[in-house]
Amino acid sequence: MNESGDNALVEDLFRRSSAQAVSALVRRFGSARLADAEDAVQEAMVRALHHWPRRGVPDDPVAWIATVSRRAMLDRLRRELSGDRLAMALAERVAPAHAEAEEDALVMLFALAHPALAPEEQVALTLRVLGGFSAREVAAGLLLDESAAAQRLVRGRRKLAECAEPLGAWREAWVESRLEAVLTCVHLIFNEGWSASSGESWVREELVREGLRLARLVARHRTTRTGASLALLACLEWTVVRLPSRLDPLGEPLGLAEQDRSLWDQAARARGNACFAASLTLGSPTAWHARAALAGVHARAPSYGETDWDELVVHYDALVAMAPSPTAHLGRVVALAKVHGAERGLRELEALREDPKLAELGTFEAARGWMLWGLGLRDEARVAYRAALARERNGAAQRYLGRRLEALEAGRDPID
Amino acid sequence: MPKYLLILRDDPADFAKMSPAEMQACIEKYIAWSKALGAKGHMVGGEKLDLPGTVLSRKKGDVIRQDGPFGETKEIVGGYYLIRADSLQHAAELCSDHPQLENGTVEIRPIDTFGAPDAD
Repeated sequence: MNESGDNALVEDLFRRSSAQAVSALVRRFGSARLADAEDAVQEAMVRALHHWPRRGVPDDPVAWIATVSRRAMLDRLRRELSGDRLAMALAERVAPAHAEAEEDALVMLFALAHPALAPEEQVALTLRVLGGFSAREVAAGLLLDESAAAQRLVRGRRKLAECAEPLGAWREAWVESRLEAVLTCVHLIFNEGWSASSGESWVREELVREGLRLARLVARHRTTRTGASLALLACLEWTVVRLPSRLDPLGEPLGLAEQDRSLWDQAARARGNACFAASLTLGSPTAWHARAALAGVHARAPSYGETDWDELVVHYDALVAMAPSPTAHLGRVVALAKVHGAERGLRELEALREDPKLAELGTFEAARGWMLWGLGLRDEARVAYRAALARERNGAAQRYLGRRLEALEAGRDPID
Repeated sequence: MPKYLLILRDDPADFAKMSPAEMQACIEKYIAWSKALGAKGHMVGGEKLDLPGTVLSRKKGDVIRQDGPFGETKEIVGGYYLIRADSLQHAAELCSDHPQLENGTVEIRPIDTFGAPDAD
């Protein structure tokens, strides 16, 4: 104990150490005990809240929380079980070969990728357990109301309890069966934080950081370091290159054409380069490679005018072939319009209308509006932008579209 | 300087609902408050009280033992501090920015010195 209490708490200490402690407990006692582990860690933090201000912050706060959490967990088991069942629960905990925090987190991440869980339950639980977010913060991050977020967490925990998967040692077989689900989950977390780009909520910025942290965790471990996991990490690194410039001084999102590229994070770009180069040496290209390559084209362009749209079309073609999705299709059409002109873009866009889910997206109408504007069809463009605005729920994204609509109505040239 | 006991009451369930980030923000405030008071030479000590506890009383010759809850409300004594202050008024001033006030109450009681001006 540091009696003077001079130890400052490092940023995110509680979130990090609670996530670590829950992972360690679940790994030892099995995923059926997830809720108990979360409660035990919460109890440890409440104890810290009262003890530390009076007794000083311990020299190793992370170890303090881990130890007190473990005691609280054992108390819980003792209260709930007795006799043989208690002895069994205590004996069943598998002592890991090396009590390594990173591997605890990795086992937890893959335990939550259990096939019984729906992807949205997996995402919510991953944020709660590995990110150390509360149910309320999970809701804020995923733009859900609190009860919906709580429901996902409860359902996910129940399914894990029903499956009662013993954990313990890291299993290499999970790379085959669950890595894709893990990568998808990490990408979703990152995108949730990135896409709204509202900057109005602490949590959403945190989702970007959390996605990056989890992607690094997966890409670093010897067994999960695959072409796909490295490509995902490259994709995220190349995307966060733009993090410093994507909002204007008032916190409004800026388009690629409007951003000040001198602010771009060149260190992130270099990290992305290294990850992508490494990913290409491990197996054949995946959809993650295509996503990374797309982000890489933007990260490399010294100015918007120098963006290599031909290369973007190539990567979008690959992405649409390997993992078709509304955003992939739309991105491809916008790139085609940049290469071959707005007329071609509009033709391709109309062909996409067959997918009703896609045609309903605000981004579909926004892309249409931009192409019509490029052809000088201002009235039709205005209708499209208005439709896009009506479909957009995020405030910052609405203002982003609103500025384009204003420019259009003021008779100015198209803004990309 | 006279001593005062600060009795901190709160509802433990409120803390159980906090997120790790909120807890850290909260604990940082408590630490800053304790440190500031210590730096001014007013802090004597303090402890956190644990659960469960029990209340003893005597009814018709029998000692009755009652395990919590300890009062009518959900608030319980979560911990205490012992501080030095010139007067009750001064002690109240020192506690007016106590972060506990965001989560519960602080009761300030002078330590009885039986009339001695500054028993230590």
